Order: sequence, then structure tokens, then C-alpha cells
Amino acid sequence: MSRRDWLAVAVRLAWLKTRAGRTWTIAPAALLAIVIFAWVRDSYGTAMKFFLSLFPYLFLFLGADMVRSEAESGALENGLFLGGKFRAYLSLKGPFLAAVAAAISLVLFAGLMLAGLAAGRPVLPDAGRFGIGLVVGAYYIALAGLLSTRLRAGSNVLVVLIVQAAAFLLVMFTLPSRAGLLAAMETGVWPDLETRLEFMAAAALIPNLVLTPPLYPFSLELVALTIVAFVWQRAVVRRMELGKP
Amino acid sequence: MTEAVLEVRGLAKSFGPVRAVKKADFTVRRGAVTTFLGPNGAGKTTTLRAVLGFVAKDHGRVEMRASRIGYVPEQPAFFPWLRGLDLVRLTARLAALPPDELERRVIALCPLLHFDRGLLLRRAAAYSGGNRKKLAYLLGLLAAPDLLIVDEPFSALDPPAIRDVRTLFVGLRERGTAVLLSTHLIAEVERVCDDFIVIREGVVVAQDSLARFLRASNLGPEAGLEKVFFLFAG
Repeated sequence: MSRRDWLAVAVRLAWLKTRAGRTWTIAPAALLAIVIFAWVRDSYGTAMKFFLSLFPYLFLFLGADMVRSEAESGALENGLFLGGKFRAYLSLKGPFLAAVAAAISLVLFAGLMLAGLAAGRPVLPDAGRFGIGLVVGAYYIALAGLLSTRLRAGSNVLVVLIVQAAAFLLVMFTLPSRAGLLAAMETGVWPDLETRLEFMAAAALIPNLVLTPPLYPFSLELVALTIVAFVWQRAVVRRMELGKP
Repeated sequence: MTEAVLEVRGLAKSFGPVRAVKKADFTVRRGAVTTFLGPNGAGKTTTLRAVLGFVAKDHGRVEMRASRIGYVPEQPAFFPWLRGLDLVRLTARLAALPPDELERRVIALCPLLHFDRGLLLRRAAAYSGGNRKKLAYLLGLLAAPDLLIVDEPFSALDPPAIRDVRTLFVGLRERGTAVLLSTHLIAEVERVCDDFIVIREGVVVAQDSLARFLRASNLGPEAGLEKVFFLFAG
């Protein structure tokens, strides 16, 4: 068995699971519906804003149920995964799903951009924000993968959404004391280190914050966190054994 | 003694405070059916899972000299989104089987296993326990393995399938395949067993050729595998 053959089998298996899950069609369809609604009710600019703010969630939703449920299901105790190859399969899923989500996002973005070009809008700023959105998406996949080494089924996605909702409510309830942070987010001018750190902590929980307005330097924080999450997940999977603990 | 396709030395595996396998030393030779015996909880399945790499061993050495390995678990489980045919195709891809050869092997193996080929178009997770086991045999045998490892070979199978699977083991032996069967159903494997391994409380306490052992021991040549088992496993 060559490494190439095994890789082809692992990718095919990951694709069959993605295809059967339907998230890869339902989530983009829902996003498209929101974008069209915003366009019809308001403007192209609003539609593009919605798209750029929300498309990283495609990555998160595709990242549901990546590791633990499969490791406990017994389905990996199969001739396809002898010699510990199940670990390579589980590690491969994150990058594979990120590629699928990026491809779907790119198709949707290209469609919107072509519509923008036809309407004579400058598309370069949107392309930049799309690039940061891909970084946010990659972070979501890495985070979902890391959480799924502990959490079963889609509870990894649920935990991210609950934490984001809680963080959002916290900000809302403490709005008067956070005027400086909100102003800095809007203008991109950071008065002190404390405000920067506060924003970095918030961006780790709600990475979409770096998208509106585009805060390019902070996307580097997400790149670093993505690498940490991928490396951490890989280390956990390397020690993983099949079967229920 | 014919060439060993699997050699295990000093294998140990614990799950937290539980020492499931303390010391497993054994070899499996080409062209022989080796029966891995032991009472419930003796460490048979854990040993096999460590040999196959599904759990990490704590200590010991596993020398796998077989290039094509087939594995049939005790209770096969499959991804709910895969049809039997998907699994067959993926297994064939790994074994680099051309489509016509794959079809030939599926056509040859399905009747031997009493497996209805039409089931391949349905999701494997929805099969009955017996059909899941038969599909696992089909997948394990597709690549014409040098070593076939089967955990509880007859569990979930009906009597005609048990009879024919036993015949299958004899055929594999004749073609030079090594077969390792882990079971506690001694009567079912007695007729096909060449070598035996006995594991007790996580320690392999005996390994030998059945015929040679019976000749040399005071049990006598007419004694069966069951007597050997009780001699070592108590």
C-alpha cells in the first residue's frame, strides 16, 4: 500500500462523510439566502458586508463531529486504518474540511464580486476582507477540531456558539465601561496596550470581530492561534486510542 | 518451523490501573491456523488491538512481516454514511486491485460467506450483526492477505456460515496464509487448529503446535484442544 493510495482513500472517506452530512449544502444555501435578502431589502454593499461577516461560520459548521465520536464508534477498527493510520485520518480531516469550506466560500464570493464589478463597485477592499475571513475560518476549523478531541458529535460547534453568545452578552451588559474598546475597534486606533489585549482576548472568542472593520494586524493573532490549535490537536490525536475510555 | 509472519515479544498494555496484558510472547507462522485461547477478560482482544495498532502498547516489540493484513473484529462497526460497496471500493483501492479483479473476488467470496451481494448497495451500519460480520470477512479477505486476524470468528454467524468459514480457513492455510483466530469457543476451532496460544490473566502461558504438544504431553494424541486449554488456563 503506497502512501499516495492511502491518502486518496482517507480524502475519499472524509469527502463521503462531508457529503452525507448535508451541512456543506444547507449552510451555504442559508448564507446565500441571507445575502440575497440583504441585497433585495437594502443594497449590494450591505449584502457583501453580511457575506464577509458570516461566511467564516461555514468553516465552523463543517467542523462539527470531527474526532471523538468517530474514535469511539468502532468504525475505525477496520483494515483501512491498521498500524495507527486512523490517527493520520483524524488529523487530515481539519485541513480537508478547511479546503472544502474555502472552496465553497470562494465560489460564493466570486459570484458576489462579479455582481459588484458589473455594478461598478471597487472590489479590492472586499478581496482583502475575504482574505481575513479565510483566516478566521481556518481558526474556526482548528478550534472545532481541538474541541472535538474531547466533545462528541456536534457539541464542539455548540460550545463555540454558546461561548460567543455569552461573550456578546457580557459586552452588551458592560457597554458603558467598554466605550474605549468599541471606539478603538471602529477607528483602528488603539490608545493603550490594555485595550489591545482586551480586544485580542475578545477576538480569540469571537474571531469575526477582526472583519468589520478589517483589522489586519489582529489577523496575525488568529494565524498564531490556528497553528497552536492544529499542533495541539495533532498531539492529542497522536496519543489517541480507539474505543471508549 | 515455517516462516513467522508475526512475532510478538514482551507486549504489555495497561488501561489506567488495569493491566490488561502483562506479557505476551508468541509467533504466528505462515500456512498455519493459530488459535489464540483464553478465558473472558484474559487479554486476547487487547493483545490483538495492540498488534494491529488500534491501541498503543506500553512495552514490547511487534514484528509484522506480513505485507497484506486482513482483520475481522468481533463486532464490526461501520460508518453510518457508507454503503458496503463504498467500503469494498476503498479496501480495493488500498490493495491496488483493478476493477475486474475486484469484481471477480467479490463474486467468489460472497457465496463462500453466505453474503447477499445486493446488500452492498445498502448502508453497512444498517446490516444485521451477522451480515456485518460477513462484510468484515469480505473486506478482510479482499486483498488476499498474508495474515488474517479474526476476533471471535464465529460470533453472530449462522450454522451454515460457521461451517463454510471453517472451510475457508482450511483453504487459506493451504494457500500459505497465516490465520490467527482469537476465541473462547474451543469446539468450533478444534478441527482447523494447527497451533495454539493460551493467554491467562494477561500473560501468554503456552504456545505450541497442537499435534506436537499432544504427542509430547501425557494428555495423549487423542486429547483435544479443550484439554490443552484447561491444562493451561485452569
